[in-house]
Parts: sequence; C-alpha cells; structure tokens
Amino acid sequence: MIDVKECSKTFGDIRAVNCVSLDIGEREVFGLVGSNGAGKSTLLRMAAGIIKPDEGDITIDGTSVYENEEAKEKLFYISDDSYFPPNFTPDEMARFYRNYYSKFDMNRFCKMMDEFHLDRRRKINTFSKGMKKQLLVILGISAGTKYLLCDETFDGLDPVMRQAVKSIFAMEIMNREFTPVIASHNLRELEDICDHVGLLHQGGILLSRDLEEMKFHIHKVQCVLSDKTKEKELEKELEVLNIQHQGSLLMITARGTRMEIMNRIQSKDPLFCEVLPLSLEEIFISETEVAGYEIKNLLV
Amino acid sequence: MKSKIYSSDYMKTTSKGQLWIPVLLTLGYMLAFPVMVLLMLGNWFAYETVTMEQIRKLYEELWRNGLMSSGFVVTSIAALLNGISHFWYLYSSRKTDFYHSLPVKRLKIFWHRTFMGILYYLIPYAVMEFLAICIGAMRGCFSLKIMGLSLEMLAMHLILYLMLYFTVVLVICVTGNILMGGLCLAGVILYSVTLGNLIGYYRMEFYGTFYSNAACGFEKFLKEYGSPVLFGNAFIVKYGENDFGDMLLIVLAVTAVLGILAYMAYIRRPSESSGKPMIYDWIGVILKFLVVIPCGLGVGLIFYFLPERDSRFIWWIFGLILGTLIAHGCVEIVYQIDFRKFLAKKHHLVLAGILVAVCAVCYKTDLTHYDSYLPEREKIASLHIDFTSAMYDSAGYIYKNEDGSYETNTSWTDEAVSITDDQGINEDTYAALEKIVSSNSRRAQEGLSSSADSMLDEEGWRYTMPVKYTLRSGEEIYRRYSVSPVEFSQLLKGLYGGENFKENRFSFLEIENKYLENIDGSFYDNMNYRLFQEDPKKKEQLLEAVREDLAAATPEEMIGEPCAELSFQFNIPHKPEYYEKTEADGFAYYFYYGNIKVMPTFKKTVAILKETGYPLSIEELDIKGVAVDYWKSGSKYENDEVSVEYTDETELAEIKKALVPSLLRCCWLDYVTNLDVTFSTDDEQLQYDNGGYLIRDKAPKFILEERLMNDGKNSET
Repeated sequence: MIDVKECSKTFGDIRAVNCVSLDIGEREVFGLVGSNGAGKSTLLRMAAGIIKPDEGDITIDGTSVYENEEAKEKLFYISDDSYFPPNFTPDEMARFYRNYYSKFDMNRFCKMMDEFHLDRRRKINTFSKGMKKQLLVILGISAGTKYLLCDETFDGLDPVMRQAVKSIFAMEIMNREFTPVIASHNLRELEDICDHVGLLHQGGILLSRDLEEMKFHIHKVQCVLSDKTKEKELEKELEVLNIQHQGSLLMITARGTRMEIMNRIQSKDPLFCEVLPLSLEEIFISETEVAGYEIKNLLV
Repeated sequence: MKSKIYSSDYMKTTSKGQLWIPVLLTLGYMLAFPVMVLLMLGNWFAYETVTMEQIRKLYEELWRNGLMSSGFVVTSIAALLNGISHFWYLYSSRKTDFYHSLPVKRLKIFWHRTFMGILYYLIPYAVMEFLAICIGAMRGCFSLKIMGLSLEMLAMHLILYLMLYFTVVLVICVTGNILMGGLCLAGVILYSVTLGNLIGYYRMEFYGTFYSNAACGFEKFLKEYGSPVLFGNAFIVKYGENDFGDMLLIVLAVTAVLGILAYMAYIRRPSESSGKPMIYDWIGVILKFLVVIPCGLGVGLIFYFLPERDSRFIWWIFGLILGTLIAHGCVEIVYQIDFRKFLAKKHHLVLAGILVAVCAVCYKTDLTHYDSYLPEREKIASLHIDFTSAMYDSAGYIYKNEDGSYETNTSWTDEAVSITDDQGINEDTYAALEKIVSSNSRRAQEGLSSSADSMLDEEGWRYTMPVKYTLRSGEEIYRRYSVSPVEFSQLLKGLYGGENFKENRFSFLEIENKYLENIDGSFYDNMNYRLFQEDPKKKEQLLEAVREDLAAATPEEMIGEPCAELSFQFNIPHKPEYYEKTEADGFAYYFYYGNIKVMPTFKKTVAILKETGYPLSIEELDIKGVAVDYWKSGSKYENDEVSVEYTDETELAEIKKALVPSLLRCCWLDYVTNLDVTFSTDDEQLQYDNGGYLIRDKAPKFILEERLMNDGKNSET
C-alpha cells in the first residue's frame, strides 16, 4: 500500500502540494485527477522517491520511499515528459532497466513489444510520442514492480492502444500484485479504468473515493410527475444533489441506492421514470458541488 | 536487491553515446606520450655529440618533467569532459526525474559515475603510456627506473584527475543551469588569476614599494595556487624538481575535501532544483559578493587609468560606483533570469558598495601599512637584494661542483645568493633597512615617484632596489625600494659587516686561476684597458692580490671612493648539455665575467695596477677644462640649460677634488644633481668627451651656487 501522510511540497513561493493524505490500496487502479497545477505530478514524483516532501512522508508497504532502494524497486515511474538516453533502442532500455529491477522479464518485454508492433531495435528517438508512451508502459509492466506510477500516460495513446493497455493492467492485477496509479487531468480518460479516484485541487486532496461505491450511492433519474406538490415532496424525501427541469421532464441526481431512489419515485406515481447512466464527471460534479466547489474550475 | 550497476552488461549499455570521451582521450594521450617520446628521442639522436648515457638521463628527465606536463594537460581535459558528461543530467529536470526514479541510492549513482569516469580516463592513459614505454625501449631507453617513473606518473595524474574532476562535479552540483555552470566553471579556473592581477595592479598603483615582478603573500597564492588547475600546475613544477612530498599531501587533502564537498552537494541537491541558477541560495550570495567587489574595484581602476593624472581620483570613484552597480545588476539578472531584476536586492547592493569603498580606502590610504611594513628582525631568516639597477652588474653566485665543474645562479632570488647568517641579518643592516622603509613610506604618502626608471627625482639620485625577505616561517615577502646613495652606503656597510654578502657577491674570485682568461680595467681617464695580455702570471698575481685585499677590507673601505674597476673574464667548465660540444675533460666551457671596484686601500692590487701606468686618481690626470651644463628640475630635455666652462686652474683644482669619471660611478656615493659634467685632458682643443660626476660633499661652492641660480626649485645645499 502506498501511504501518503500529510505531505506538503513548496517550490519557491508556490505550495504545490498542501498537506495531502492518501492511501492507495493494492490491486486497484488508482486515478489521480486534477486540473493543471493541482499537484498531481509533484505528488507522483514524491511517491516515486524523486523529490523529498518538505513535510510528511510517503511510505510504500510501510517503508519510506525517498532514497530507499528496496521501496523504490517496488515501483516504476513513467513521467509525463519521459527521457530516454540518446540513441538507445528499446532493447537497450530493457537491458538498462534489467540492472535495476531484479524481476524484469525480458521475455515478457519482447512479447509485448511484438504485440504492440514496436521494433525493439529501432532508435527510440525516431518513435512517435504515442509509441514512446507504449514503450514506457511495456517497460513498466516488464519491470515486474508492484506499483506503476503513470503521469499523464494515457495522453497521446489512441483508443485502441488505451484499450490494450487497460487490458494489460486488468490482466496484471488478476495475475499478480499490481497497482497502477494514473495521474490525469482528464476524468473521461480514467472513467473506464479506475477503481478508485482521488481528486486534487490547489495542492490539496478534495476527495478520494471508490468509484463503484460512488456509482452505487449516486444515481440520476429522469421522470415526469403529475403535479408540482409531488415534486416538492420528493425533493424533501430524497438526498438530492442536483435537480433540473426540461419542460415537464425532471432530472434528479440524488444520493442513495438505485432501489431506494426508485421506490421513493414510484411512490409518487410518476407518469414516466427511468434511471440514467452517470458518468464519472457527473458524479464528480455532484460531489464537488456539494463540497462547495465549481467543477469547471477543478477539471479541464 | 543490489543493483547491478557495476556489471559489465550495464557498463556496456550505459557507455553507448559516451565512447567519444575515451576515443578523444586516446588521441590526446597519444600526442602527450608516444608522439612526444618519439619527437624528443628523434631530436636527441639527431645530435652527433650526444652519448647514450646522456640520452638516458634526458629520457628520465622527460618522464619526470615533459610527459608529466603534457599528460597533465590531457588529464585536465579528461576531468572536464568526464565531470560534465556524467553530471550534466542534473541541469535537466526530465533527465533528473529519470535517473532519480531508479531504485538506486544517490551515493551509488555518484560513485558509479565517478568510477566510469576513471575507467574512461585510465584505459586510454594506460594504453598510451605503455606504448610510450615500448617506443623508448625500442630506442634503447628502458630501465626499471622508467617503469617506476611511469607508475608514479600515473598515480600523480590520477590524483590530479580526481581533484579536477571533483571540482567540475562540485560546480555542476551547486548550479542549476548551463549558463551558471559555465560561468562558475570559468570562474573557478580564472577567478584567482584575475583577482591576483587586480590586487597586483592596485598595489602597483597605490603602493610605492610594490614589486611587480614577483608576487608574494595572498597575491602569490591567488596567482599560483588559487584554482585547481593552477594548483595542479604548481604540483607538476614541484614534481619536476623532485621536491613534491609535502605538496602531494596537500594535493591529496584538497582532493579529499573537494570529493567530500562534491558528494555532499550531489546528495543534498534537491531533484526539483534543475534549471534554478544556484541550487544553494547561500552559495549564490557568497558568489555574488566575490564577483561584485572585484568587478567594482576593476572598473574603478579602468576609469582611474583612462584620464590624465589630475582628474584620476574623481573618475576612480565614478568607476567604483558604476562597476559595483553593473556587476550587481548583472549577477541578479543571471540569478533571477529576468532583466527587470537589475536593481533587485538593494540591501546586497548597498553592502557590496560599502565593501568596495572599504577596499578602495584601504588602498588609497594604505590602511594595511603595506609601504611601511618591515618584518621584525627576529623573524627574518635571510635577505635577497637585487643590485642590478644600482651597481650595473648582474653577476650571479658561482660555485664549484665536486667534479670540478662550475654552476651559476643568475637570479637574485635564488636560495644560493641569500644574505644570512645564524642570526638572520645583523643590526646595522636592519637599521639601514628601517631607514629605507621609513623614507619610502614617506615618499609614497607624498606621492613621489618610485618608478624603476627614475634614477633622478626631486630628492636627488635614487636607485631602485628590489628586496626579498625570507621569514623563518618560510613566507617570502617582496618589496621594491627607492634608495638614496646615503641609504645605500649605510645598507652596504651593514651587509659587508656581517653575513655572507661579500663572499656571495664576489664568489667569482674563487674560480681557479687556471680558468682566468682576461682582466679588463677601467681607470680615472674613463677608459677601458685589457691588462697584462701577454703575462698570465701577472694576471694571476693580480687576481690573487684582489682576493687578499678583499678579504682584508673593512665595511667602511668597501663603500669608499674606488680608484679603478676590474673585470675578470674566466673560461669555466660546466656540465655539458646534450647539444654542446665537450672538451677532452668531458666538460663544456663558457665565459663568465665578474666585476669589482678597487679601493685605494687595496694595497696589493693598487701596487700591481700602478705598474700599468693607467691613472688611479684624478691627480694623475692633467685636466685642462671642465664643462658643466646646469639644467632645471623636470626640464632636462628643453632649451633652458646653461653651460659654463671652467678652465681657471684654481677652479679646476676645486672641481678635481669632487670629480669622478663616469666609469667609476658608485651607487653608495652621493653626486650633485641637475648638472652634467664633462672634462677635457686635451691641451690644444678642449674637447669635453669625458663624462663625470661631482661628489656632493666635495663639490665647490661656486658650482653649487651656480646650480641654485639655475634651478629655483631645488634647494639642495
């Protein structure tokens, strides 16, 4: 487990991360979302042991990560702006990493390179941005580390490749102890892959929730009621997060299980009632608005 | 898990893209070692006179000096390239994130990169050194001593490599971008020399007793040891002299300190600081003051030199302010990467301005008492004095080797010509020096010239006399004094009265008689004659007489009025260089000259010289007339000279008491200034072709009065 305890980091006059506490469990895909400058990359760099927190500590399976070889061997960091030594080929990168990661699997690396149709002997500096991202994911998976820290890794991948990467992540989680942490400013990018999401804003964590749990407890329903008094009664009975009118059509986002909400609506004898799928973005809009934030300011 | 960063596979992988360094170094060491050996051996073998034994000695010397120096040049380049190539990544946040995210501790990264650098350096070095040994062996120059020297050289170069390498790494670790790194690296190499020169120029301009040809104290430290490159070079020089034991320990200590500092700076350097000009703010502040203060003083000095003498002070102040302001502004712009920050941190600017002002006041008012400084007598171990300007001779100390050959020390600062005895220097010498220092301090305060070329100034004849004090602590202090004849006579009296001055100064008289070739004499008729050309025995008698008379002469006698000057010419043997022709005795020969003023008290010498018939006193000359050109102070070359001819016998008799021919001029006798004297011994036509001087104490009253009339300024009485 990655345990972030009241971590803060200041660069000059800018407080990039402000007293963040966060637990990243095992065998889950953790999404770290936030707008540009929210502190996602700084938090990931601290988690990767690259930079030292000014305050607080980050531990990996109970041991502090900064300047700790054992802890760092459990994670592989993929930077947003990755570097490859000049003139290196993927093969050479693999040989390079093999000396640092004892569980590095060369066969796995070669196999995945073939699957992704990447030439192992071609110079990396001739690769496109997306190909470099794929290579990094392959290297990260091949390294056999428990944690994979990805900073905006999906930015630049085409939908097919994203799907392929997601499949690999799912398979890895099934087969071994594997926890990818994906930082992104794009909620839609994480929607179909993350199990748990942490929202960062202005260096602080706004919320950290299990996605399934959130989806289970928030629902969006559209219905048509026969009169206004029933609508007002329903508003009082439900824990409404958002309510919108489109003519006679009522769209309610409320906290509660599907059964609870539907029972309440059915008791009002609606002319029409239907549960709509909620996007991750809508869930966050609802959650953060309740917390007093305007979601448009938090996410791109 | 232990990372396999020392595995051959890893090294092979990471060497990719860096192999140009060992390739370049191979080329460099090929030029430094095998090519140099080939060239030198070729040169030596080209001389027909050279023996194999000489070549072997020269070859050994080449390993100790030549290859050490050429190797040091390439070693410096190796340290620079390796240091930059291995730690350059710190300037890029992308690369820093990449390397620092790897599961390996920073200390391992540091030592691994250092190790890789050593490999890149050592492999080309060892290969090329071995090749040089093979080339020497093929030409017949191989011995265990050469093998020992080669290993010793490798070890010395490795230590110097590490010293320079850690310096480069330290600079990279405390700076965050290429601009600052480049500036700091240039600063590390050039700062001390620049500062040393700045101090030198300030001392030259503001201190009357500053001797510019030899730095001493802090200035010397800056110029010779102030940067790792200079320090390494100083070590190479000491190594060449085979006197490097103490310095090796210092080099090792400096290397260790630099290594620790570089390591600490690397370990503590925050990864996120890439791109920031200075990683550690406090170092940035110190560097700023180290740059701004000399820049302020330097620009001040430039403005001091530009205008005419009268307005220099005002322009100096202007330059000091301008230099401080610009330097501080530039540093802030570089630090903050923003042109708008030119006037940022005004409190630092004010503090720098105050420090510049303090330095300027120190120089202007000599707050450090530079000009009036004289080491305590008890602390002086020995003296060295340069008499070249005063005595018109540069004869050095000559000594005989056990094999019968002679060697000379021609530099006045050589240890062999030090003036000393068990007590350092005697009371009389020290008292004379006190007076000289006191008068020089006063002259400096009054702004009187102390230029080396100025033999005559407002206070009469003066001679430039550089002095080196060697203290018992080993410290060497140089000063250049302007000395009057009276002060000179007191100093010479003190010097002749003790220590080893007389023996050193006239050491040429100890050369064996058989090497004496010629003796030339200058006499009262202002002429030079070769003496006893056909009579070798007489020449030897004269040499012997001089030796005896000199040994018996008292200090007072040595500073009297000479009656002649003798110049001894010897053809002496010395150990031949490989290119010199050797005689049957195995030595090469060269001519050596030594002069001595003959005093009237040198009875035996005078007796022999009388046999020549050449005049030994003014009385022996039949002077028919004396012409005196009176000129005003400061206007010697203008048309306001007044010439007076004296032919009256009474006047001539008075003048003759004071007249000394120019060839017998002595720095310890005081002559009347502001006039030129010529005299004629020709009956028919009074041709004044003999120059002379008038001794001040004996000068006739009518001459002094005439002189005063023509020079209102000078009140010499």
